[in-house]
Amino acid sequence: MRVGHAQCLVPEEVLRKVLKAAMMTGADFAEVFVEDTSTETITMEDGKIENVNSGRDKGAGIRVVKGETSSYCFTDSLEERDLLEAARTAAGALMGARGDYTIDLTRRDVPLISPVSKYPWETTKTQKAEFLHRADRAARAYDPLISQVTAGLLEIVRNTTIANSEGVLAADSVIRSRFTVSALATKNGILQTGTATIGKTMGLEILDIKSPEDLGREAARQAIVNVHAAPAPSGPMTVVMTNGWGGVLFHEACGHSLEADSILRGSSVFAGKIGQRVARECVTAIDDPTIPNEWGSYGVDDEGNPGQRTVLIENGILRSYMYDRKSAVKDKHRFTGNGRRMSYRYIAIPRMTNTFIAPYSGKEEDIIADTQEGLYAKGLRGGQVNPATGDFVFTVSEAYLIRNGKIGDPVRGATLIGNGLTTLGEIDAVADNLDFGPGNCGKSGQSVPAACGQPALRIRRITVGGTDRRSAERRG
Amino acid sequence: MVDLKSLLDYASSLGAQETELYLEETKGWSCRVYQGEVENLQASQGKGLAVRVIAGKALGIAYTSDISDDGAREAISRAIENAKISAPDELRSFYAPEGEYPTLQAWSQDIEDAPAETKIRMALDMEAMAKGKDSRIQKVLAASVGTNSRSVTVVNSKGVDVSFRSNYATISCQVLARENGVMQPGSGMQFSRTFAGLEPERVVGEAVEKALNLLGGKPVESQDAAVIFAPEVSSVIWQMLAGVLTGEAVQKKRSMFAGKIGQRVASELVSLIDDPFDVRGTGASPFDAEGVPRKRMALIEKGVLKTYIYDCYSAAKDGVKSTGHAYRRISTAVQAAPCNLYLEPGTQSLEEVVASTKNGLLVMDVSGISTGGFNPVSGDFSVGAAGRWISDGRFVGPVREVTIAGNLKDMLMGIDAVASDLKWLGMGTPSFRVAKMAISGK
Repeated sequence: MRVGHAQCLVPEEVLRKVLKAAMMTGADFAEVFVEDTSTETITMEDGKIENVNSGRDKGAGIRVVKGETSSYCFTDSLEERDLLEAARTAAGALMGARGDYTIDLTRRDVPLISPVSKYPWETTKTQKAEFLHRADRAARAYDPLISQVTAGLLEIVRNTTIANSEGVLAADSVIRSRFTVSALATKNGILQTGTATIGKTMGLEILDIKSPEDLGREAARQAIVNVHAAPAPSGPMTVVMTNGWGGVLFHEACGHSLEADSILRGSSVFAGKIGQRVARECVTAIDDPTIPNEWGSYGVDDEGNPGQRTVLIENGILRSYMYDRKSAVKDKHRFTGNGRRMSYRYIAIPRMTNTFIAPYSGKEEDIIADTQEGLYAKGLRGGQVNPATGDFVFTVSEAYLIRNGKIGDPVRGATLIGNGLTTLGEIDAVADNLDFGPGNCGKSGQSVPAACGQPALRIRRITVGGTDRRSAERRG
Repeated sequence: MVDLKSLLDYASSLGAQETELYLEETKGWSCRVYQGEVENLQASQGKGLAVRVIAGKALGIAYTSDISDDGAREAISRAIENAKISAPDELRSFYAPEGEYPTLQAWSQDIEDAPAETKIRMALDMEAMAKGKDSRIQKVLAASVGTNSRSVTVVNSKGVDVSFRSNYATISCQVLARENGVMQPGSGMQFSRTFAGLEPERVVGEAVEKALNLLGGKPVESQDAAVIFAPEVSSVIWQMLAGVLTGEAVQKKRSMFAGKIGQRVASELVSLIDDPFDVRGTGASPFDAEGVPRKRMALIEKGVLKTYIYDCYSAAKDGVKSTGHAYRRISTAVQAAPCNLYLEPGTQSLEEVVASTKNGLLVMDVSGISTGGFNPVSGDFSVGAAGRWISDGRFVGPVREVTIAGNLKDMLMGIDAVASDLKWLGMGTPSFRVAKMAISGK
C-alpha cells in the first residue's frame, strides 16, 4: 500500500482541545472535520473565455453525538478560538452532565489511491484556456450544423483532516479534474445538444486519456445525431444500454435505496432483504472508492474511515448496504467508508463513491444481435429516484431503435421510467466491457462527486417515455 | 471583519479598473426529530466574500470563505490574475448607482427570538400529530423546524454601497404511508417570514394527505389527456421557463423564446409576474447581486411575452439597462435569474377545475427535470410524474410511474385553466391545467 502524505490542517494539539471541549456536556462521541479546498473553473462559450473563477473554502465542522441526537456546528475559520467556540456551541445544544475527557489521537495511514502526475499548478491558466479553445475548434469543425459550443475545466484540490473522540486522526488530499464540452446543433429550427465529459481523481493527465479534440468531436457527434433523430416512441420496450455512464441507472434506481440511512428508516425497498435474490445471476453490483484515480475515489471518507470495496449484490443476491458512522453504529455493522459530505458546512451521510455493475460475460454486439426489437441507449443524462417507492426517471441523451438485432435509426427525447427493484429483476444480460462516467450526485442538499459504471447490459422490459404517440398506438 | 472600502482601494492598486465585492453572512439553526427524539441539531454561521474585477476590460472572479484581511486580499489578487485569461469586452462594466433604492421589510424579530425549546417542541408535536392522523401512516420520516437569517452587502468602485438583511422560518414534515406492503412518502413544507405565521398543523395535514392520496398508485395506459399541475409541482414548470427568459439565454441561442417579445407565447390566462417586494416569496430583496435596484414587472402578461430579464453584462449586449435580475451564489458567476416569480391566480378553485376535467391527471409529484428532462432550446421536456387520475370530474385512483412529455411552447399555449389556490413555495404558484399532454404509462 502506498501511503499518502497529506498534512494535518490544524495542529494535533488544537484538535485534542477542540474534541475535549466538544465532549464537555457528556457526549458519547465528538468529531472535527477540517477542510481546505481550492476550486478553479474556466468556462468558454462562443469561442471566448467567459468566466475564470478561483475559490477557497476553508473551515471546520464539529459534530457531537449523544444517544440518538447529533449536534452540528461549523465555522469558516481554523483559528483555535473559533474552533473552540464552535465546539462549545455544538456541545451546548446537548444537555448533559459535565465530563472530563482525555483525548488520545493516533494518526492513521491513509492509502494513496489516486496518484497525480500533472498537478493543477504546473500548467498555466493560459495553457488551460487553450485546451478549451482546442475542444471548441474540433467541435465546430465536425459539422457545419454545430452552432454553439461551450466547454469547461474544473479542478479541485480538497485537503481534509478528521479527528474524533475515539482517537482517529486522518488527513487526506484529493485532486480531481473534469473537462466538459457541450455542442449545440441547429437545423430547420430544431436545436439539439450533445455533451462529452471526462472526470477523474487526477490532474490534467485526464487529457492524455481523452484529448480536448476527442471530447469536442464526441459532443458534436451526439448533437448531430440528435438533430437528425426522430421523436422517441413511448411505451414498454426492451432497452440495451451501452457501457459506462449508463451505470447511473443502477445508481439512481437501486444505489440510493442501498444507502443505510434509507434502510434504517424503513423507507427503502431493499430493507430486510439481505441474503435474498433481488436480481438475476448476471448482476453483481459493487461500490468501490479504492479504484485508482476514478472520479469518486478517496483514501478515507469524510469521517476518517478507510474507503473500501463493498459488494452490494453478488450474482443477484443482496449482500450489503453502504454505511456512514451513524448508521453503522445503529445497525451494529462494520464501517464501510461511505460517510461523505459536500463540505465542512454539512454533516456526513451515507453516499455512493464509484458504483457499478460488474462485468459478466459476452460481448455488447452479441446482446444487441440477440435483441429482436428495442431501444439502444448509447448515452444517458442524469436521473432521479424516490427511495421509498424506488420509482425513477432518467433521460436518454442518445438513442437508436433496434430492429432484428441491428441498430437502426436514431430517436431523441426518450426518458426511461420505472421501479428500481422491478427493473433490476429485468436485467437479463450483462457484457464484459466495464467503463465509468463522472457525475455529481445530489442528496439532502449535498452534492458529491460520484462515478457510475457498467458494462453494456439489457433490460428486458422498461417504460420509455417519448413524444411520438402514433408509434405507441401502432404497436397497440 | 474586513473593511470593504479599503479592499476596493487594494484592488485598484493592483490594476483593477473596476471592482465589485459581494459579502454574504448567513446564520442558521435547525432541528430534525425522529421517533420522539431530536435526531439532529444544527447551528451555523457562514460567511463568504465574492470578488469581481474588471482589468484590461476583462472580467476576473474569485471567492473565499476566509474573510480575514489576508483571505480577502488573496481572493482579490486571484480575481485580477483570472481577468488576464478572460476575453476582453468593452461592454464589461459594473453598475453605477442612479436614483433611490426601494425599501423592503423582510425581517421579523420573533424569528430571532424563538427559543430552541419552542422550535424543538414544535417539531416533536408535528411528528406526533402526523402519526396519529391515519393508521396507514407507518412512519414519520422527519419533522423539522429551522430559522435562517441572511445579510448581503454589495459594494463597488462606482459608488454602489448597499446592504439588506432578511430572515425566515421553515417547517417541514415527511411521512411514509404503507398499505398491503406498498410504501408511499408524502411531504409538506412552509416558508414563513414570521415565526408566529408557521402552521405546523396544516403542513402535517398536507404531508399525510399527499401520501394517502398517492398510496397504491399504478401506471395508466399511455394516452393523451388533460394534466393539472398542483402548486407543489407547478413551480418546476416555471423554473424551466425562467431559465429560457433570460437575455443571456437568448443571446447565446439557448432560448426557445428568442425573437418572441411582444408575441403570444402562452394562453391568455397566463400572467407571470416578478415581484421582488412580495415577502411571501424567498427571493424578496430591494437590489440584485450587482446592487441594481429591483422592480416589479410582468414577464408574460395575458399570454404575451413582455421582456427578458437581464444582469448588467447581458443588458449591455442588447443595448438595454439591467432589469435588476443579477443572481449569484458566492461560488458561482453572476447571471440573470428571476427574483420572486408568481403566476397570477385565476378565479376557479382547484375543486372546480378538477370537476370540469373529463379525463386527466392531477400531478402531485414530478421528477427528472433538473437532471436533463428539459431541453431549453427545443422546449422538449419529459418528467416522471405521480398523482391522481380524474374521470368525469372525479378522482378515481392514484397514479405513479408515468411520464408526461411535451413541448413547453405547446404546453403554455394549451393552458386552459388557472386555479385560485396561489401558494408560495419558493415562487408563487396556483394549480393550472393543460388541455392535452402525452402521458406514457404501461
